Amino acid sequence: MNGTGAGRAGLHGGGDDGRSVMTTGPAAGEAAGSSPGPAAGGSADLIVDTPLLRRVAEMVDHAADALRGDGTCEVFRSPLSDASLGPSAAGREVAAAAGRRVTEAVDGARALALRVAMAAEKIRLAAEQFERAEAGQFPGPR
Amino acid sequence: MSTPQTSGSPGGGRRSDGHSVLRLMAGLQGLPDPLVAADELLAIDADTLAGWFAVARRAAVWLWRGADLLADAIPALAAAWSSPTPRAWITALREAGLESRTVVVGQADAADLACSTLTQVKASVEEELGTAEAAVAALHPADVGAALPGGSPSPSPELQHILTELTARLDELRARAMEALQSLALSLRADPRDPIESLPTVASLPNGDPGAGAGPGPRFPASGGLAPTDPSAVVSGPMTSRPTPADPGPMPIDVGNLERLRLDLQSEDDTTREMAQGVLASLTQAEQAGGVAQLLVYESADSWSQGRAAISVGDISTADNVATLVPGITSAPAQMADGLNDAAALRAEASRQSPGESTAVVAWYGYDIPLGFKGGVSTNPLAKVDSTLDALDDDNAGEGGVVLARDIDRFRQWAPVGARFTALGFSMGSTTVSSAAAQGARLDDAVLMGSPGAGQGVSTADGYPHLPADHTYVIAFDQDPVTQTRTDLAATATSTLLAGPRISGADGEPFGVDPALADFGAQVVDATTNVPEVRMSLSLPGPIEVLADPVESAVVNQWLAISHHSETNYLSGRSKEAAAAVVIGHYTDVPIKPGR
Repeated sequence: MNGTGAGRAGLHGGGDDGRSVMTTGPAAGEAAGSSPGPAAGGSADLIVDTPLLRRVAEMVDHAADALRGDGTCEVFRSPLSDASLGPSAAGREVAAAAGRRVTEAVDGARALALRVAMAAEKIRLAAEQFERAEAGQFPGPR
Repeated sequence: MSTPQTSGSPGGGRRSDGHSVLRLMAGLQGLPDPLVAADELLAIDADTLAGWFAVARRAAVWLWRGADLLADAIPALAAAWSSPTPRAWITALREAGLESRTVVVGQADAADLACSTLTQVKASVEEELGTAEAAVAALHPADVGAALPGGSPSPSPELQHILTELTARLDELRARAMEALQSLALSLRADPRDPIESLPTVASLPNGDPGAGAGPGPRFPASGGLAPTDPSAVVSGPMTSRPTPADPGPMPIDVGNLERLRLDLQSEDDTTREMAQGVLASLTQAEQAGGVAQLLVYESADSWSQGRAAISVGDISTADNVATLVPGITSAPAQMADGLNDAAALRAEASRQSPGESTAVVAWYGYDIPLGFKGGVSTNPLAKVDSTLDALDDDNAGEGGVVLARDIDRFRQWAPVGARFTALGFSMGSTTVSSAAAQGARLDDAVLMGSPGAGQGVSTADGYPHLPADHTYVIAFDQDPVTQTRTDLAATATSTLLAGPRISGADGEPFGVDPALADFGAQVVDATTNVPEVRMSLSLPGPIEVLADPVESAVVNQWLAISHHSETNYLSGRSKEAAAAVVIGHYTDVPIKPGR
């Protein structure tokens, strides 16, 4: 369902398709800018499809699962010792660096998985808040 | 000679009786032992290296799949939420994953290439050894016999040719292997986590939140990972990354020390308060230098003690490398400015050499530093006398080493798993670091700078339980009188004069063995002083001139010489570059020279 400006922070929607439109304008006491758009204090429509937003959250969850790998909390430890690549300085440097970098590759993927999971959670939260706002459970944005 | 019988050896190489014949022949011919290079190359375990990078390949697959699924989510998100910011947010996550994957795949490819080269090199080594053995076996017995005791005094040209060719070929193979390793080392300098760690937080995204672009959309606390159940958790005001009452963020690791410092700032004891004020000023200085400053150790001063403090320049909890810098005599926790300047300089150099890594440098004023009252807080006269005598031997360094080893254990608990730990000590601080290593401190490397000695009971670098000798580095400027034997002699004489005869260690040296000696067995860094050399000469008139013309003023020159002995001098120029290279584990960048 689409709709347009019904004054400051108007909210329309709640139709069967789950789509809502929020229209915003400058807050009371704020001077409207010379150019349109919310950054300038003008008005803009926010179109939200909460069921689809929830499905997006699931997709992002799947991405987080993929980034976690096989889902185990397997701990990888370098099998390389200081002397594994010979006694030369280059060998020792590579043994140390390789030990760290591979672990960091796994750590990096898992750290990204965490961020992506947080993103999914926030999208889900957004959907929930839009629905609650639409249902009038708490005042519209100030 | 028959085909050599082979047997397994560590690292997957082979060893045969024929090899020892080659070694024997080379020795008798006065040629270098070709098996030294062969052993070094055969010890390289390329299979394990390749197997380890299979784990990196798995991580690359995870990153690829995750990015792929995020790519599917982006158009769906655009349809579900008209604001561009959430899309930008998911796109940034996806791109970070792809960038990280590029680094991982690049490193895995480089490792595969290096492993392939190393495997070929090992096979070639085996082949060359087999060929040389076969060639020796095919020689006329008289040619071989000439090399044996009692044989002909003139060496066999054929045998000499075989061994010379073998040595040259092995040298070539070694150069190939080193080139492969160095190339891989270069590739491994990038940190695959960087693209992910540099992602903006939700709060720092354009306009501050996923709902931006539509004004009143839901906003989310920056650090929250779970959906709040209370609508009040959804805030409408400007977002900041500061902790909120609902989400105070992680507890700082130094919260206890900061609390003690806060209390000491209000202490009625002048000594306690002066030290706290000095530490507070140092924290401010460290924060300006490193963005993050952490008070890792704090113990109050009193009229008998200078107290203890350690401040990290940079965040130890996220550091790839943690260096602990231990100062020498006359330093004090109440006045850490010089040490923090040196710590910041070392950290900056480490960052310059390895931009992809983060390094934290801890200025550790954690032992009872002799003559600390000169730069510290007021202590009572008896404590000053005691502190003066402490400068004449390594007793405080020995006790400080125990404390340092314990503190490093604690630092390791705060640092990421796998962080590299290096302890660097200057002057008496180097003796303290050596003592800590001897006490079993868990260090990856140690750097002893301007050292008067390695401390009692440490006769060689092999004496450190968890620190291999070749991970012990020594920087000793030839112009620095403190690193010379005369320091020990002067200290012994003064100590005897002031406090009576002292029972020294077995070597009779109050600070122990000079670690720059070749016999000590450490890696001596090839670096020169950063202070210009100036010598003072005096021309004296009259009859004296006949006796001494020109007379070098020993006192003045001693004063000039001592200017070489400063922590800042050791952490400047090439010696700083070398120290930083050790801190980040770039061993090939450390210039080494023979010991004294």
